[in-house]
Amino acid sequence: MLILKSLDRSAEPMHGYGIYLYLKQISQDVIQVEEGSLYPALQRLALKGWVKAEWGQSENNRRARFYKLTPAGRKQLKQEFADFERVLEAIMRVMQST
Amino acid sequence: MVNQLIQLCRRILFYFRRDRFDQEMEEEMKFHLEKKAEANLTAGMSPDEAHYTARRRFGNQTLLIEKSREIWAFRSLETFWQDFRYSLRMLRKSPIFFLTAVLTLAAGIGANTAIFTLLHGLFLRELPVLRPAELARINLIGPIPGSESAERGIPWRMYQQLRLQQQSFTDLSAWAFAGVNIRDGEGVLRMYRVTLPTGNAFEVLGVKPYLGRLLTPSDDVRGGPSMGWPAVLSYGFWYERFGGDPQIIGKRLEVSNTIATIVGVTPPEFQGVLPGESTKIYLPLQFLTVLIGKHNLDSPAVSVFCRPIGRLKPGISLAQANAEMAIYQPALIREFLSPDQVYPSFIEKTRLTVSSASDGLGSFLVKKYLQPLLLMQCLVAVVLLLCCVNVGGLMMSTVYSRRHEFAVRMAMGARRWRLTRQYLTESFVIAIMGATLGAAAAWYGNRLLLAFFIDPNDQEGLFVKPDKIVFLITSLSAVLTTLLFGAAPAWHAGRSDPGTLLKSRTALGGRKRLLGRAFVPIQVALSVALVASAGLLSQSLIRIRSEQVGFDIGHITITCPQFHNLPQKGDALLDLYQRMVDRLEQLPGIQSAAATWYTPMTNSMATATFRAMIGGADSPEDSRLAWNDVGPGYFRTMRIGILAGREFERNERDRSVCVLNESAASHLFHQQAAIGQYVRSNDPQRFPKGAACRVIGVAQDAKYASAREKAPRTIYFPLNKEIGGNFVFLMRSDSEATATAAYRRALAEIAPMTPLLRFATLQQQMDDSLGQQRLITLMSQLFGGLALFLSALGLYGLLSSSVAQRTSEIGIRIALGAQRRAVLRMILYEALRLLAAGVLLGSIALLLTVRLIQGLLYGISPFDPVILFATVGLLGCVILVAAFIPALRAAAVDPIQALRLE
Repeated sequence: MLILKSLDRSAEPMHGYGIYLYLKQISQDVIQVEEGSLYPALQRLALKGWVKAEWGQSENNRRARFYKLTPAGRKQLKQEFADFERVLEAIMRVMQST
Repeated sequence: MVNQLIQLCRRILFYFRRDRFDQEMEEEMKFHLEKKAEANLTAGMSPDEAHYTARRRFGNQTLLIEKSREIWAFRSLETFWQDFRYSLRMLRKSPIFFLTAVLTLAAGIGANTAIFTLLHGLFLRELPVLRPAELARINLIGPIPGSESAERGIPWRMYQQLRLQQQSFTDLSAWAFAGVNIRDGEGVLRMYRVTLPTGNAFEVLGVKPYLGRLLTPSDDVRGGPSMGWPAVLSYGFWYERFGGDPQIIGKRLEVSNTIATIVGVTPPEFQGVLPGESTKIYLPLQFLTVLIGKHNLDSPAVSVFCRPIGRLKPGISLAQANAEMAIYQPALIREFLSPDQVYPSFIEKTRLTVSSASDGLGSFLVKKYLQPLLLMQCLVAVVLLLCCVNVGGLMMSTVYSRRHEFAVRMAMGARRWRLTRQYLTESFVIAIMGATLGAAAAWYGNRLLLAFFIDPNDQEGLFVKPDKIVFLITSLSAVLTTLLFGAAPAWHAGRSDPGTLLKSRTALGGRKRLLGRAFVPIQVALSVALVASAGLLSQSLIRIRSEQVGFDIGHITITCPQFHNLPQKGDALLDLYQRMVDRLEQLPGIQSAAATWYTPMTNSMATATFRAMIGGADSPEDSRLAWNDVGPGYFRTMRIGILAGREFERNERDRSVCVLNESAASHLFHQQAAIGQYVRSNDPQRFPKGAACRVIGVAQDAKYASAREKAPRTIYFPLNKEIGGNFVFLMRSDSEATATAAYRRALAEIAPMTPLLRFATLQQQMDDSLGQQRLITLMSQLFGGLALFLSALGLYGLLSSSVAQRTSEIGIRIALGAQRRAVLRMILYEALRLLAAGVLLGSIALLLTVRLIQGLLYGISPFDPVILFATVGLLGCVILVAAFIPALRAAAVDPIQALRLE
């Protein structure tokens, strides 16, 4: 969801390193995983058809793979976000009732 | 659902860019790493440290690429493919092992497929019609003297009454069978088996035509429909005789001098209602009037039996139908069965019975061969099991020799299941190859096997083709065998423990496999029993075939012309036979010819009681003699010597004279000369006239029913008018072809309207009469050979793995000074111990087997020392050869090598 979200926020397609930087920045280093595991995750999303990958030029003119959210991916994000909110709401309600 | 489909497409598309995929992943990751390193560099790390940290934080790149790839790939399929290719490589590396395993399984699976195909084709197959389970047949079942209670059906008139009365069936149909004369492709008149069903019969079965139409009630009327008699061809006959002519409908066919119009063809899968006896043509049942020369089948004077098949109403069981029949039975039998049609005892004890007809009407084949075939099926199933156990043992020995490889793979992270799966895949590859080979062998072998059951001339061939079910069973047995023989080695492979194994190669040693050990003697025992039986049976067969039969069996061709179907009767018919014989003897190549009632070597003969008349008075005691009616020239043609007097002449045509064979003459008249004395039959049923007859000759003894039995006391009469006039021609010539050609010429001249029937030689007839014996002998030879091979294989597998396990032990022995010869001896002793145990067990098994085959032995003791010694000797040789290979391997163990791995 986080990957989808980061792609959603950016108007431009992003490359893997960009996504990593973004995630690192907004989570303020809370999420600590092997950086490389981002790539299999991206492939999983590509297989499901939620992101689309294309090769392009990076900022300093190097070849890099850029990922873009597809309409199906956007729908999925909305769905997942809705689910997440519902769960969160439920948890909050339980926590506040005490 | 749609999403999954799209995903599947993506996965498939992935395979086209597979090579690029890794490269792209790598490039992408490299980009990441470099960026990260740059960032680290800006953060003040040294270049080396920057790269190193980037790499460390990133994780295992190769693993990540692999993981990414796995997301796309069909995982299980890919692993299978990998395992499969690896298996092929491994198997190619040890071709002997591979070949042995495949051949063993092929033998096992092939034998099973062959027998099952036969069993299924002949007995287990339901009729290919609409809901066969609803079909039922009706029969009068009761004792018929002199034959087993064969199903004969019911009288035609009874059927008609029953069809009107009955409530259990939606409808009843009747089937009759007959032979008709039809010209073959070359214009030669031949006799064909035809089926004559009632007009509604195809409708009752629910058979649909392949071409045109089938018979309908409007075809089945007395005197035939106004357009003439219709005929429906079987698919096989249409294909063979008319080359599958699509324009066949409406063509004319001459059937026993009557013109019929071909109206349709039955579908290929429908082979008639008698399993194992395919029919060529279907004609309306009323066509019987043409064949038997009567105008009305319904008259009480006509005795025609038919076989009813009905379709039970929904919800009516066989028991209910039988109960209904029991109500009608007394009245029906009283009205329609008369003592001049059947035996009085039959009428008393007969019952009108309804039984299932889902497989058709049942046939003589079922009675005769169902049991032996079932027995054989069990036997080959056991053989398959043995094959599996042995191949399993063989594979087990490869597990031991490959355990190092497995340990390494496991240490490198292979999961247990993966190793187990690898072995199962290997087993599966072997099983599939074995099954394919076995099925192919069964496909060809079946024809040979079938020849023992059914006359090759009657094999339409179609009905024993392996079909879906056979294929299913074969594949199933392949899978089953995989599990059976592959499971144990696979499990062991999966249990390889990398730690202990890498440290020491003896970790698996020392454990004895008791089961494996017990198996070898059991197999040896089986081999002893089978090989000895095969030897005894083969010897018996050789002795029977070389036995003196009392006549010259070579070069005699026989054929039965069926002249009794001709209009000529009585003396005119006997004249016809004589004219044929005379003409045959004039034709080139025919040395002599004769007509006879019975021919020898058919497993049957006629007997009756006679009394000698000595000095005008009957002797007090009855003598049972075999008897035969033979034409002039019989003894000359058969080369049976006349010891005294003469043989029959052409004017002798009644039972006022007779020829006795030597043992009959000496039995009846003791020391006195038999010539000129009189013999009288006191068997009123066989010889109603009962007149005394004068002995005019004494012939040498000759065997009659079969070569197995010694020549019976026999009395010969001249051919006469009393026994229906269906005789057989015997022709002595250099070759069968000469006789056939001469016969065809004579027939064309003298009786052109007679169909040509099959020819056989007396030698063939004798071989046929030994059919069962030959089959059993062949089987015992095959199984004996197989058992021998299997026990060798079993021993080889056992010793190989034991040598592999004991490598270091043997190494130590050699290092401590054991002679290589002693090591060799040690392994061979082990083999001999197993052999001795097996032979001991085997002699018990042989005692039991001999009881079973005693009846088939001829001229040889069941404990013939030569055969027994030969068996044990053969077994010993095979076992020693099998043991020698692992023994040599043990002796060649290099102590330094063996101990270094310790």
